[in-house]
Amino acid sequence: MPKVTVNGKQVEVAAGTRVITAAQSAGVEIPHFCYHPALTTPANCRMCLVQQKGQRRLVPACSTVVTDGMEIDSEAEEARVNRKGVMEFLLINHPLDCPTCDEAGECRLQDYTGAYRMNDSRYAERKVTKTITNLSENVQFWGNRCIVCTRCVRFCQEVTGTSELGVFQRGDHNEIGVFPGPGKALDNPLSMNVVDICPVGALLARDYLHKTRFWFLKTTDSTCATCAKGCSIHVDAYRGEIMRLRPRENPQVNGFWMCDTGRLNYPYTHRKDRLKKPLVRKNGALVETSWEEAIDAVYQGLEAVRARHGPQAIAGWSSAWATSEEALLLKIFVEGLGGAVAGFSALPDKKEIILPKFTIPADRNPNRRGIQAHIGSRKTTTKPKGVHVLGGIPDYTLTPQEKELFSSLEFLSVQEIFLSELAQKAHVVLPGATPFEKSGTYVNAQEIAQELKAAIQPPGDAREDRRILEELVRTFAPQAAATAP
Amino acid sequence: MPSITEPAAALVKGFGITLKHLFSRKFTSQYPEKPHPIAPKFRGEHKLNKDGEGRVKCVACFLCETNCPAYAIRIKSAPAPDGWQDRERYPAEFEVDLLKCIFCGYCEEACPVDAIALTNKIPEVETSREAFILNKEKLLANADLPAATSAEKYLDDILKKWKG
Repeated sequence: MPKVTVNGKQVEVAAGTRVITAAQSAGVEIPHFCYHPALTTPANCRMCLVQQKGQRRLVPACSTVVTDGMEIDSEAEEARVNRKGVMEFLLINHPLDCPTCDEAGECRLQDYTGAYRMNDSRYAERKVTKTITNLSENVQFWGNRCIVCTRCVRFCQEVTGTSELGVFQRGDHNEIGVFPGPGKALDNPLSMNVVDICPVGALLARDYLHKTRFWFLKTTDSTCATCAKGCSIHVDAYRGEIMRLRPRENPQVNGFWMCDTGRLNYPYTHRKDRLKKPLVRKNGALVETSWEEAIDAVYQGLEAVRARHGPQAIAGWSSAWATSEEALLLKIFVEGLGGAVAGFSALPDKKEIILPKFTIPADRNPNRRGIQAHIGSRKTTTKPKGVHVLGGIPDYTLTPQEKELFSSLEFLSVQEIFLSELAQKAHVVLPGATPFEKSGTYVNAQEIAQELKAAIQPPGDAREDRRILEELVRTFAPQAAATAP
Repeated sequence: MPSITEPAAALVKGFGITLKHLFSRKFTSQYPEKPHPIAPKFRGEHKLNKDGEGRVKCVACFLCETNCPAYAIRIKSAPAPDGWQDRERYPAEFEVDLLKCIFCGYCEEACPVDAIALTNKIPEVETSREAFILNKEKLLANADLPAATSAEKYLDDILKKWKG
């Protein structure tokens, strides 16, 4: 294994490592724009040039492979002067609109402008100005801010294999654009990742456009709840409202990326028709009530069914969007009453999407594996009369099998986020939480258990589903509560 | 036997003071009929300035909200309406909570486009917490009020006086 010295510190790295990565393991951050660990390295920004002992010229840290005994100095006078020169050239045409730029705060160009004290420009001529265009429904391109690092172009060539983007024009007129043609747009399933990899504010997500500023965001590391892949994500919230989702680096699951479907699957959390209070059916209509009354109504309802038809008539019905903890608690709850968990509802599969470096699975349920593990062995033989259902799947339509099962019930209690098809039939509706509002574990299609972390509070009186189930277990069977996790 | 001249002298002295004040300048003021004069540097209610076309000058950069030590400002930004050529974003909502505000004037100092300023206007007495929140309409209604002398200008004036 080659030994490299970076700024006086010796590190041992694997053969074939780039200097920029070796420097990172030595604790040295080499400034760069165009280099991205998951993409090829064209070395076109010239920001990462460093001094190598024995070489007359500076070498690009991003594309130079380490050799044994290499000595690198990133803070050499020559390297510093070069970086200042690169910055000066980049800032010739870059506008000074940081106060209104969405990237401000997480912008490399802004950081280095501060670091290298690029306060004044010697350039007195007219700046080249470019326009703002929409590359697609979701991505907007601000020409003025682009520094043509080509990260986005390479992403579309290498990761998605769709090659929609290219560099057009020459010299300082060159800019990123979609190859012309009827109906051509940046519309691949991963298109919004170009916003994350853009080192400046040239590519902006239209769902987050002008919403807030980066430094106000409260970031929670969580797991995406849109499909069985379970991408690791950052949930960025501001004042209890989700502003955007970003992928979190996880080499085992999603690498650096996430799909647009998952990234844009959060506005339902803030829909106006979210359930905020428990509902109990009185004289045929669902009316708002308190938690105590609603829990008591579930108790009364299920106990009545048990007294009339025996424990065999009680059943639980899980959801493939529930966490593993909720599934386990439902099992403890229902089996404590003598019944069994009969099954779970799940969204039907979509077509699998296979891209060169990313696969979006067909299964659209984030926790099918986790639920299957907790369904339990006991099976219902007779048709249930009293059922407790975990919902939480937005816009879910019941399957014929479920319609059959729920057709002749005497009592139905539902934990839901909206007044869904099933909730409208229920006797008690308990307002639950979306995956952004609850903590737990999701098991993805690769059987990797991942943590789901609450980023925001549920609206109104709604509670985390886990708390509701704990309350139910406590109410029904005090001895079962002692063994609950 | 006590003398009569001593208390008499004190009496005359006492009435003398009364008499003197009868003819001197009065220092009571007729508030609220006649309001007190307000110092030009007094910082009162905020205002949002308008540009040449009567639109709000603010570009919703959130720097005042960032800088506010009392968390009194709340902005909701949105893409600017069609036809606003000079900018891409504007404040859809702009609220200043006067109960939280400490009238330090940092918002004014942070503003890159001179959109927010503090005026001499004394905040009115209200009966609910909500009424103390200045929304965008109220802030724009204050637009024509003169701004309080900024800290910078105030210091400049003092320095000028010192230097003669």
